Amino acid sequence: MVRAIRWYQRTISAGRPPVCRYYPSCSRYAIEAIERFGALRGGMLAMLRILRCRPWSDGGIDDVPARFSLLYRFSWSRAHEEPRLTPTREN
Amino acid sequence: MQENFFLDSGVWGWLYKLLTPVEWLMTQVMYWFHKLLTLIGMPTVGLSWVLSIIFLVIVVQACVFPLFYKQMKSMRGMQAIQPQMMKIQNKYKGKNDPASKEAMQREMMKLYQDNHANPAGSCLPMLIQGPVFMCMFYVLSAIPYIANGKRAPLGAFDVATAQEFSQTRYFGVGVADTFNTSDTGGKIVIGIFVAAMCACLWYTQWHTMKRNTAPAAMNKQSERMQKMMLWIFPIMYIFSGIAMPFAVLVYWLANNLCNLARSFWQLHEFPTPGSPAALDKEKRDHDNENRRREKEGRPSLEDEALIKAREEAERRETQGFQRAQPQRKNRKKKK
Repeated sequence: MVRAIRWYQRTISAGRPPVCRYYPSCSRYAIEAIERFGALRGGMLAMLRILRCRPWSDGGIDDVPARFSLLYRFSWSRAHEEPRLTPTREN
Repeated sequence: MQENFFLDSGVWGWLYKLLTPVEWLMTQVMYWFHKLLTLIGMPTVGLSWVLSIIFLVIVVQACVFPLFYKQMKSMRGMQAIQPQMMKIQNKYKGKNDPASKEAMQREMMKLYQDNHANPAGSCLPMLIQGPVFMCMFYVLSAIPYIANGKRAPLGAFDVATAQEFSQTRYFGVGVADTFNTSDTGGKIVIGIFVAAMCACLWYTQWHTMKRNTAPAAMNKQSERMQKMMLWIFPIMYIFSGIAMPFAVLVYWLANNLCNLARSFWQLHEFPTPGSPAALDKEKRDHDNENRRREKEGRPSLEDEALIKAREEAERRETQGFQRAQPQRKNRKKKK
């Protein structure tokens, strides 16, 4: 699955202008989520992320949460994190 | 013709079951527009069905357009935050290590988010177009099966309507025919449609690439990639175009023509800053302003600049380079 996303990044995405409203981009987010939480839970996070990436949303910084939660975007969620200006780990 | 409708079985059947509401809506749009056309005196079989396919394209495009327009508008908002962007860029100037690159991107994103301006469009519209197109393909290929009673009626297409639809022949091709099932004349017509469709797509991409990319933003690799994409999609279209029924080709061609028109409009109204199209727009705006000024009897932009420069020179002659202190107008009255 990660390899499929990598393939997408290399071939399809590389020739186009950057299109994602979030940082990290949806595909990088998906890779990180799948590596951290596995195909099922990470895949769900990635799906939600793609649905969130709409032309009328504001976009911005949206990292994979440290703890798994599907609702981490809500401020009342225990997994909620403020957007960080500094990266958490080296890629 | 196969015994059962092939798209109703297996994984695809399940997927198309999920998309039923969209399919239902599509059949209704086509049915009612067709009804309207027959009401104003068009024959029930023939051109009216082809026109209702084209109408469906227009409806779908009109649904997508507001999103597109909003995105173009937000591009304009980008210019307002240009100074802040420059500030961030200067902060990270000459730093090429991954960490500071990432930090820079994060800061930029934060800026976009806080100002509700984002240059990127997001990929969702593209992802939505896929299922919509699949529905279209499904509906149009299901109609012959509905007509001969092998499949249950779908939405507005009951057996009678489906029969009417599948009898439609245009340019000597039945709307349900594919490249393989039609005769020689039909093959030629379908071939022309596929070619027109590919040419249309290719030209849209080529024109956008040529006119709407800023030369400064291009590097070797992305340029090569774009050139490849320019050819890959049209070639893929040739293969899928041959497998599709004629009705889908009509839909597809109309859709590509709409996209082409939209890209022209975009290049005319909202070009990417720094691209050749943007330079043209600048010049056009300048000329329009001059024309308007001429109508009102005011001096043109160039003349105005000249007059200002002359006044400035004259002032220097009389007063030297010393700037006169501004004086309050009602100063003497107060005393």
